Amino acid sequence: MDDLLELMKTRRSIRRYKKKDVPDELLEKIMEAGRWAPSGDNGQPWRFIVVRDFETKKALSRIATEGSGRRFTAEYFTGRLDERFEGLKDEEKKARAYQKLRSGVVSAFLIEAPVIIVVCAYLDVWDVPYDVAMATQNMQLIAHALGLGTCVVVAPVCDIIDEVETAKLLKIPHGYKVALPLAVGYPDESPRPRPRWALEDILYHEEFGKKRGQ
Amino acid sequence: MDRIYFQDTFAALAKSLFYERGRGAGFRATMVGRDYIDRHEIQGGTSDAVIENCIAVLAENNLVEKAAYQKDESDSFFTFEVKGCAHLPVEAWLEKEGVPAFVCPPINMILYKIRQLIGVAVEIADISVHHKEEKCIVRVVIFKQ
Repeated sequence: MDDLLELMKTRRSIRRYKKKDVPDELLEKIMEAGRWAPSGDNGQPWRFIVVRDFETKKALSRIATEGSGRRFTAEYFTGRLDERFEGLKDEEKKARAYQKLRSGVVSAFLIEAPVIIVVCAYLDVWDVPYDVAMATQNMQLIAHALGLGTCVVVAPVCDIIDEVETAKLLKIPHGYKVALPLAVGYPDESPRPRPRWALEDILYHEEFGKKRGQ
Repeated sequence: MDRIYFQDTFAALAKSLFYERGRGAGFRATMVGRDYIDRHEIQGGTSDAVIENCIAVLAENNLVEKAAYQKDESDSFFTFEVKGCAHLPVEAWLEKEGVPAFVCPPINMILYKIRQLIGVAVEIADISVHHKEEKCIVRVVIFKQ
């Protein structure tokens, strides 16, 4: 049990990968973990597309970059980026971060990922988002256990306009949708853990806002 | 035809989407309005021309009473003021329900045509509704990527 918790705690979103191929056997293990995720009404909406083709990765990367760039540019002008980076006092670093976000290049790494597993979903199922999210979590954890890194990249599907373009690129038929692309590869970085709320700050008893003993 | 029925229905669907996606709901509603503007012949070789032509169609068809905009010095950040919009009753209903404004079909139509005809990047940055003045302020970015 502790091993599983440790696996969860040490998983990171990996955006830089070694130039090393990921064998099919490992990818199949990852998708096998996905297909054993909980599923409402056992609908199993998940479908997987393994993308290795450079041109397809390049196209996905472009859609992701444009989407991210638009959203962060909007956030820059409204001042929301300043709110996000409130803690960063180094103005030079801040300017670099803003430039990276506004250009959308923050999501461009899809092109560098050795493999992208595009998680798709059959829509004639009641619990599509929950099922797909649980399957993806399974996949990320098993990948981490196998020494692989993953990153969910929602940028090519976040905005419905981009999702339509992504679906066209991948020839998704009517009745299905692209849920999310999952980048997979051997990690070439070791990101620090991101801050998390302490359990005591997010835990209530019996009703929202009520602490134990209140 | 009872317009209130359509307003209530639109509002209820918007509320459902918001409760499903939270702040991300706006990104799922960016195509709302496209079909309508596609029924009209919109032309223009610049963002300004496309905006003016779209506003003319929206006003002629009583979707908005009037709309105006200004740009900041970057030439990328636009502030639209939309008065007397057909969607104001929907926004009033949503505000009563505690749902923030996240979809603006008239601006969606304008941005869609700009993207289609000029080929630049477009994005709604935020929407604020001012019921007393019967107007909305919608800030958007339009820029070459």
